[in-house]
Amino acid sequence: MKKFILKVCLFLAVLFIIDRIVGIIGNYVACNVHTGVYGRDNYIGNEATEDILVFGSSRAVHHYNAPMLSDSLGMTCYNCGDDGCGIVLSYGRLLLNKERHSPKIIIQDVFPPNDVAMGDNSRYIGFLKSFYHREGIAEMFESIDKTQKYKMISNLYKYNGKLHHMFFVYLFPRPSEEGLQGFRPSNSAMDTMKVVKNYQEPVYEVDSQKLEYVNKFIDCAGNAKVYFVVSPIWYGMNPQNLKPIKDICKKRNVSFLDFSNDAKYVHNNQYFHDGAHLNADGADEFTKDLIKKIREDSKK
Amino acid sequence: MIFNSFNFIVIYPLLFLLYYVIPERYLKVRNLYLLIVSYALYISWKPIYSLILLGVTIVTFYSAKLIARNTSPRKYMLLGVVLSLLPLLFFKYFNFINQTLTSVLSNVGFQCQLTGLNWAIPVGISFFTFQALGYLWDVYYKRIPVENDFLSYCLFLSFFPSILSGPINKASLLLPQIKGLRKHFDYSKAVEGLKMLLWGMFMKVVVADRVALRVDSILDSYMNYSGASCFMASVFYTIQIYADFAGYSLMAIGVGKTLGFELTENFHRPYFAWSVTDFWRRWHISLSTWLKDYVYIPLGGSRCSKARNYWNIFITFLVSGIWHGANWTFIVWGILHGLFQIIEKMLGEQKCRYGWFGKSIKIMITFMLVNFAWIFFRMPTLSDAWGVIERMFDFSLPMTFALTEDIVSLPIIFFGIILLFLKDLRDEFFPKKFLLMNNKFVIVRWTTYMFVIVSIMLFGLFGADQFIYANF
Repeated sequence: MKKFILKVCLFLAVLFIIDRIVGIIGNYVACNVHTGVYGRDNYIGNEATEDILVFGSSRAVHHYNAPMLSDSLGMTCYNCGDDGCGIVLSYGRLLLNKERHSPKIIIQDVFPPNDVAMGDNSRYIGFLKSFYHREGIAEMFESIDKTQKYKMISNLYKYNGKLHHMFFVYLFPRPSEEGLQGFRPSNSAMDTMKVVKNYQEPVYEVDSQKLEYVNKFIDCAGNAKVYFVVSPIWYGMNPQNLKPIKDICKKRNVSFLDFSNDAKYVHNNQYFHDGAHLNADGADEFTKDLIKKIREDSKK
Repeated sequence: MIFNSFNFIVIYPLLFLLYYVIPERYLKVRNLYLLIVSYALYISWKPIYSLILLGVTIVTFYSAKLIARNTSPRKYMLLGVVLSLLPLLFFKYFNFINQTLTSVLSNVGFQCQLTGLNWAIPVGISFFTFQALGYLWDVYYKRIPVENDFLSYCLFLSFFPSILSGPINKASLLLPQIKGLRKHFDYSKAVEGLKMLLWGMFMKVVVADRVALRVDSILDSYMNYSGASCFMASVFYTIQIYADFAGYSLMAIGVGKTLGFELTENFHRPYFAWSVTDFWRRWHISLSTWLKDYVYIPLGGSRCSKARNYWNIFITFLVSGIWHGANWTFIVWGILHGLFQIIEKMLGEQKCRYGWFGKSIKIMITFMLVNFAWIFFRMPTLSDAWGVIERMFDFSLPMTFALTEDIVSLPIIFFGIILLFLKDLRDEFFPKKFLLMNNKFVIVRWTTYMFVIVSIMLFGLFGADQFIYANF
């Protein structure tokens, strides 16, 4: 028994040393990768100082033409959206940005499955593991999963699922993945195979933690003008799923712009790449409409 | 307890140390400790359902005593079987029977609707019920003596490593170990257990859970994907369910070993089977042994006419399908496996009389047949399963693989699958060569352990859902 316990302890000690070495290598690569998705992550977390910041999921990345927003509104703009990102990650990224900068306009693209529906929120914080040491991030991790503070002791866990890809991007830079000021247009026509026939959007069970993060996001924005925007979707959207965020916006006096059931876009193949994402033409058209709304809103 | 959970990693070393703190001579106290731990872990899921586990334990314990005491024990055996099966039928099959009856009655003009149940199924109910029934029948057929110690019997049914997803242990294997035929601490067994735990964890979190992400994204909206992608997802699911269930079983057996117990082997490289019959000698061995002993042989087994033998195979696999779930998809899956074996028997293809080339072809054919049947197992309805199959054979669709879209997890997926394949290939065909975890040199063994654990922590998916078989 004694021999067994001693060997287990020795095993854990060797594992600890490996973990530290991986941490040193991982931290170096994470800080020095300047292209691709990790370069974009680093830019958002450490450098972005644009006047307009756009947050949200892949719908944000593909829908908000950042150069067009810059030109039309006369302010610099960066699209901080990310695939599968929801309000939880948006808050984390805004928190990092607010450490050094105060944007003038903040746009959060609303997508109910990521921002309203009940689900496992720990999947969103994975993107923030590299920034765990920064102010407010550890508290955020703990609010979502109490075990995170123990898990994050391990560097192997910190770089779980991405170290190999980070290395790849570090060795073979991929500037094309950074997009145009973060905006990545889909240059392909509608893929009808990717449209679910007779799709009926379910009414989601509301996740109070996500709504709590909607409030935190508004608080964190400070004096910036905040817009919660529902960008177009081919299927249209069930307004019932938007109600919880709409109610918060009304209560907090935040602008809520809804394009989800705009007849110009619903079932219009010309503007879409698939059922949930606009193509480049659609993104341009939508950004123009959004600019119009923002201008109208600013005159009020 | 979910072995790949953070709670397990924190709690288990503590449970392990406390277990070995109890001196060897206090066997009853050690068993009581394991029983308390097993029930405490079961209660942590849903306290009320532990009463069902206790109920099945009490019913089968006393039924077995009555069977042993009486000269005509048949009625006691039947009473015990019916009472033990009631919770399983109620929780698992009520909605299915209700819906089926309602639709049959509405087709003949009767409109009646009973309210369905919206309750979660008690975890492991199919496993502990079958384990209890196995004991009851073994006592009835006088294969084992009746157990008079209630504490030992309680532990036999609730033993925490195997209650969630098996293996379904035979009383003749586990009860003697509970009653004292195990060492206080067996170093080599404990080390063997940790190796199994490590490899089982790799199979679960690096292979099964990573592959599951791709499988779910394609099969949950198969209508958006090409036939080639659907086929690839079906092959991935075949790998996923093996890595998931065999990984879990390996972890359960490993945890058992660290406590000094030997549990039933549950998987023996099933995808190297050269026939569907051979597949069932290697897949979920504890269930197929149970079905053989308590369904197939009592029906007459193979010592009867050919037609009757085919019927026995069919019924056995129909029961297997029903055991897996209350859905027509599982029933079709079971029927398919039964039919495949009947056809093999008719063609005399249950044995492999060919050289390595013929054997390889047979392994591939078996893999494809099993893969085809898994589509029914995976999809929520028969029409969805048919939809996937139709799409796979729709050659008008572009032959594109959705896989290429995911460049981040793709290398991890293939890393896991290739390593699993190489390990199984070595175990199957070169069991005494290329030893890594069992190498005579410490440096090779430890490097392998480190490689596996670092792979788990770097490439594993943490926070994935339960094991697939925990749903049964």
